[in-house]
Amino acid sequence: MIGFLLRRLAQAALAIVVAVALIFLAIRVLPGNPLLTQFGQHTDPEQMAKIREEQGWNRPLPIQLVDFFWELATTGSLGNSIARSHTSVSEELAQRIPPTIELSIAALLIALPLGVALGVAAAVWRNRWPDFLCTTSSLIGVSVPVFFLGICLKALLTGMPSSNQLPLGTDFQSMTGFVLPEAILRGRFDVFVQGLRHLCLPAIALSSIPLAIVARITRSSMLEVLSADYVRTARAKGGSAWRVVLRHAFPNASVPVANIAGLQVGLLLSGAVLTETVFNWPGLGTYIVQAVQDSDYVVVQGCAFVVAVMFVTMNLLVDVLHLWLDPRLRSP
Amino acid sequence: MKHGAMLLSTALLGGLLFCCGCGGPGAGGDTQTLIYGRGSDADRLDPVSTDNGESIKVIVNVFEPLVTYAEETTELVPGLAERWEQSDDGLTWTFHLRPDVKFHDGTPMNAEAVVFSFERMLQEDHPHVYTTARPYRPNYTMIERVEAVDDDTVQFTLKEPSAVFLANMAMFPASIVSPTAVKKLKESFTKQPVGTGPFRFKSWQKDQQLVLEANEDYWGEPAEVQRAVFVPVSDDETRRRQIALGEIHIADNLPPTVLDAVAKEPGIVTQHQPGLNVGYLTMQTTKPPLNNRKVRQAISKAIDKKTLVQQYYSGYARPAVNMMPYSMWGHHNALYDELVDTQYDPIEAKTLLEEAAAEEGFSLPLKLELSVMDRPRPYMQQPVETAAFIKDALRQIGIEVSVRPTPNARHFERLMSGDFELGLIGWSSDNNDPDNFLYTLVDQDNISEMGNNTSRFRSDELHALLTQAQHETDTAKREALYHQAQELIVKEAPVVPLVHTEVRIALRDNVKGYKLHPTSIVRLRRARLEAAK
Amino acid sequence: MYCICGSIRVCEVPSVPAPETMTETVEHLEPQPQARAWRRFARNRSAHVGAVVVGAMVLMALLAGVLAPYGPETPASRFDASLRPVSPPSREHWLGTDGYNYDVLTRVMYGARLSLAAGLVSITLAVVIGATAGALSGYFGGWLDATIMRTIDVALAFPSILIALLVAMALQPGWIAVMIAVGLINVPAFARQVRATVLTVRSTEYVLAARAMGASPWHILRTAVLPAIVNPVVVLGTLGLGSAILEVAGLAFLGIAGDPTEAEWGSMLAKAKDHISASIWPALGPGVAISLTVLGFNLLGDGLRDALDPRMEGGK
Repeated sequence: MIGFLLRRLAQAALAIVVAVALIFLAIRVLPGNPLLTQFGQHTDPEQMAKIREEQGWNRPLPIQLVDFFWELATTGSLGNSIARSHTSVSEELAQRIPPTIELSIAALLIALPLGVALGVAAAVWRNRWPDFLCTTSSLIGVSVPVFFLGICLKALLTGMPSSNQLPLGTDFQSMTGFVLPEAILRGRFDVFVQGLRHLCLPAIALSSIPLAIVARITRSSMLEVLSADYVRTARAKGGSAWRVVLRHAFPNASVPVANIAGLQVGLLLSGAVLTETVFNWPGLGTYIVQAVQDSDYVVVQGCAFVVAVMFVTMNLLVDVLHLWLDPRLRSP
Repeated sequence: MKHGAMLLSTALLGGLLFCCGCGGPGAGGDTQTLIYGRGSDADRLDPVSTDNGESIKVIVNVFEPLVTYAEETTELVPGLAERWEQSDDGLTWTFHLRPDVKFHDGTPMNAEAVVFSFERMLQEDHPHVYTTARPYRPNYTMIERVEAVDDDTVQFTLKEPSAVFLANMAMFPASIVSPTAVKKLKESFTKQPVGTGPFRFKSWQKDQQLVLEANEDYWGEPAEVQRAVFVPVSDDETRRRQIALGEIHIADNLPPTVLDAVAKEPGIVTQHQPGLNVGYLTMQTTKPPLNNRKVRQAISKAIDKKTLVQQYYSGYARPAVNMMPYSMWGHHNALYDELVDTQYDPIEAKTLLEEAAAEEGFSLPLKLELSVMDRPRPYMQQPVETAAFIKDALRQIGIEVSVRPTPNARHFERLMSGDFELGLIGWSSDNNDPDNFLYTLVDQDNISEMGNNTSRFRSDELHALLTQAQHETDTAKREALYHQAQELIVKEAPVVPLVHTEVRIALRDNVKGYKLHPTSIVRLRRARLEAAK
Repeated sequence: MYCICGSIRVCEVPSVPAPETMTETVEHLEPQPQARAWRRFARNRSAHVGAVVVGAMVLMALLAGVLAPYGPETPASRFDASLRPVSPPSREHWLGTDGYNYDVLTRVMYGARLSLAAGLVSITLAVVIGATAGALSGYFGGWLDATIMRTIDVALAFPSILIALLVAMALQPGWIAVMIAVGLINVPAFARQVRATVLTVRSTEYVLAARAMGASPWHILRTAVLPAIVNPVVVLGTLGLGSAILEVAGLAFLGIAGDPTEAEWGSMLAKAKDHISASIWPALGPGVAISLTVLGFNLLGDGLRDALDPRMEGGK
C-alpha cells in the first residue's frame, strides 16, 4: 500500500516535470517567437539583445530549463510577467487560484448531490419519468455549451450580479482569496451574503458539466449493482426497498462515481476558463486567457505548471479515495 | 462526508433563493469611495513613458504640470506655476513656482524638481528613465535647456520661437515628478507614481483595481472623496449591469447601443460632449500595395462615413474629413463642407483601384488585414463593428479584408512599430492646438518604434508646412499653413479620418460635481457622492 | 472493471471504455455483422433523432447560400437605412439583427459551415494522428508503445482547453490554429481506442496463423487490423465531432479564432453577450444551434455504438 502510494507519487512528479519541460521548450522552439510577438518586428536589435541578456534567453535551452526549475525550487518564483509591467507571476497566481477553486467547489457542491440523487432515482425507477429526466438532463448537460448557459442565466436573472467575487469597493480585503469561508471565519455575514450572490450564477453555470456526468455514471453504476446477486439476496431477505438501495447498493455504486467524478477535474477546469470569461471571475481562467491574448508566455508557462500540479494532485487524490472506497483493491 | 456535502449544497441553494430576494447596490452606502468603471486598464503611470488614454486618466489625478486647463474649458490657467512671463523674442520663458508645495512622499516641489522632470523627458540616456519609450518627446524638443534660477523660479530657453510651447506645457507628459521617488523606486515608479496632485497613489492590482487616496496635504482645494477606485471591466454588458446595480458610480467607454439602453434605467444620468478627437483608419504606406496613392485614395472613397456614424455611434458623432476635430480652431471648414457629402464614391473608388492594379500588376480582389483594438476607446467606441463596416465597404470595391482584433495595448504597439496593413486607431486631444493632431499623427518626425505617425507617411512638403506652423506666431498665418496641410493629407490619403465622436459617460445620479472635460481628461477632485436614495 | 492503471488516466469522451474492457472477439469475423448492426440501429429511436438533427445541420450548411435570406456579412442597413444594430425580430429579420446589424438567422445558417467544417477537419486530424500512433503502438509494442503512451499520459495532464490555448498562442490566432488545437486534444482518445483494438486483434488466431505463415506486417494491418478498427473509430469519431464542435466554439468564444466578424457560432455568441440586455436573440440563435448540433452528434454516436459494437456498453 505504502509502496503503491510512493510509486504513484513519483509518477505524478515525473509527469509534472515532463509536462512543464515540454511546454517550456515548445514555447521557445515554435515559430511564434515570443520576443518578436512581444516587441514587434522593428524592435531595435540592441534593445532586443539587452532584454535577451536580462531575461537569460541567450543561454542554451537546457540551462534555461534547469534554471527555471531551480528558481522555482529555491525561491518559489515563476518569473515576471512581460505584458503586465513585470508583476510576479507567483504572486498573481496566489491571488488567482483561490477564486477558481472556490468556484469549482461550489459547482461540485451543486452537481454532486443533485447528480447522485438524479442517478439513483433514475436507476430505481428505470424507464419511468425520473429515468427520462435523468437521461435528458445529462444529455443536455453535455450538449449545451457552458458559456451559452452562462449568457442565458445572465439574461434571465438581470437582478443578479454577474461579475467578480464581491461588489466593487466592498470594505473587505480577502487575505486568502476564498471569500466565503473567510467571511464566515471573520464573522462578516453581510460579506458572506454578497459573496454568495456573486457566486450563484457562475457556480450554477459551471455545475452543468459535472452534473451531467455524475448523473449518467450513477445511473448506470446503480443499474449494474441493483442486478447483482448480493442485492437480490438482500431483497430476498426482506430488507425494505430503500434500505437495500441505500445500505447495500449505493455504497458499491459510489466507487466508480467517485473515480470518474475525480477524473473530470480537467473538464471542470476547462469549463471554469469559459465560465470565468462570461462572469468576469478574477480567477486562473481569465488570467490564462488574458496572457494568451497578450502572448505573455512567462505567465502562460507559470499557469501551465500550476494547472499540471493541480491536475496531477487531483488524480492522485482520486486514486487514494478509490483505494479507501473499494477495499478489494487494498491488497494488491 | 457525503451527507456533509449534501447539507452544504442544500444550504447553498437555499442561500441562493434567499439572496435573489434581497437586492440593493453594494457600493451605495459608502459616500467616500468613488468607483470609476472603464473598459481597460492603464499600462504605465510614469508621465514620460506612456500615451495610453487609460493611464492618463490616473496620471492627471496624481500629477500636475506647471500650467493646466481651467475646470471646464481648454483655457490655460496656473498649475504648479503661479505665473509666468516670456521674453520679447519669445525664446525665454520664466515660471514662478507655487511655494510650499510638497510631493506625496514629502519631497518639496521646487525648481530642482522641475528641472529634473524635464531633463527626464529631454535628455538622451537620462540615468533615471527606466522605460525605453518616451512617446511625447517630440512635443518638447523645441526646448533648448531648463535652468533653476532660484528655488522657486525656473527658466526655459527655446531653440526657436514656438506657438505650441505653452499649450504643450499643460499636457500630462509635462507633469512634475518627485525626484527622490524616481531615484528610489527606479523601474517601480511606473507602477507607483508619486506626484503633487489631489490624489495620491495607493495600490494597483493589474486588471482588478487601481486605488487612489485623497491627498490631505493638497495645496489647493482637496478632493471631495476619500478614495477613487479605477476598475477595468472589459465586458460592456458587465459594466452596464454594474452601474445599474450601483456597484460602480461612473461607467466609461460604453458603446452607444449599451449606453442608450442604460440611460433609460432609473437612477442613472448621462453626460456627453464633443470630444476633441478623431477616429481614423491608418495605412502602412511603406509596403505595397498601400504605398500606391491610388489604392489609398480608393479606400478613402469607399467608406460611407455618414452611415457609419448613424449605425454604430447612435448619431453621437460626426463624419470626419480632416485629421483634426471640427470644433478646434484651424479646422479646414471649407474642405469639410466640400467633401463631407461627396467623398463617398464607390464607383470612382473601384476605378481608382483598378487603375492601381494595372499599374502595379496585382490582381483583384486585393487581400488586406485590418488590425483593430478589441476594446472601445473614446474615439472608436465600437472598434470591431467599425471594422466589420469597413470590411463590407471595401468588399464592394474589390478588397477582401480580414479583421484581426488584438488587446488594446498590443494593438497600439503593433501599429506604432509598423507591423500591420490597415489599422483602426484614433487620437484625443491633449491640448487645443492643431499641432497636437497634424504634427503628432502625420509628420515624419513621429515615425519611430513608439511614434504616433503609424502610417509611416513621409512628405517633405507636409513636414515643411507643419514645422513652419510650429514657429509661426501669427495665428492667421498659422491657420493658413494648417489648411494647406489638411488639403495635402486628404490628397495623399495616408490615413482616412472616419469620425469625431462625442464622449459619453453614464453616472449614478448621486455623483455630483463631476463634469466631462473637453480634452477628455478625467479629473476627479471635484466629484462627490451623496448618500444613495 | 475500474482499476487503477497508468499514472494518469482520463477519458476525454466519457463513454469510451477503458482499454481493459475491450476484450476478445472481432466483429468482422462473424457472419453478416453489418446487417445485424443495421437492424439494431433501425430499432434505436433516439439515434434517429440524432441522425435527423445532424442531417438537418449538414443540409443547412450546404444550402445556406440558397436558404438564407441575406448575405452573412451584409449590414441590414443596406435594405432599410433606419434599421439599427441589435434590432428585435421582425418580418424581415426573424431573429432580429446582431451588434454588426447582420441578420441573425442568416448568420446562424452560414455559421453551420464553419463550425461543422472546423469540427470535421479537427476530428480527421485526430483520427489520422491518433489511429496511426495507436496502431503502431499496439502492433509493435515495446519501447515505441511505451514512448507513445507516456506522451499521451503527459498530454492528458492538462485540461484540453489549456493545450488548445497554448497551440493557438504558438501558431498565431486563426482558424488553422483552432483546428490544429482541437485536433490535437482529441488525439489521445483515438490512440487509446485503436491501440486497445489492435492489441486484441494481434492475439486472434487468424493473425497468429497469418504471422506463422510469414505474412508481412502490412498485409496483416490491411486484412485484419484495419477492418477491426473501423467501427470503434466511426463511433468515437461521431461522438468526438460533437465535442470538437463545442471546443471550436469555445475557442472562438474566447476570441482566439481569428476574424470575429465571420459567421461562426462561437464568435457570434461572444459578440452577443455584449448586447443581451438589448436583445437575447443574437445569443439564442447560435447558442441553440451549437447545442442542437452537439446533441445530434451525441445521440447519433450513442446509437452507432449500440449498433456497431454492443460490447461498448452505453452509459458506462
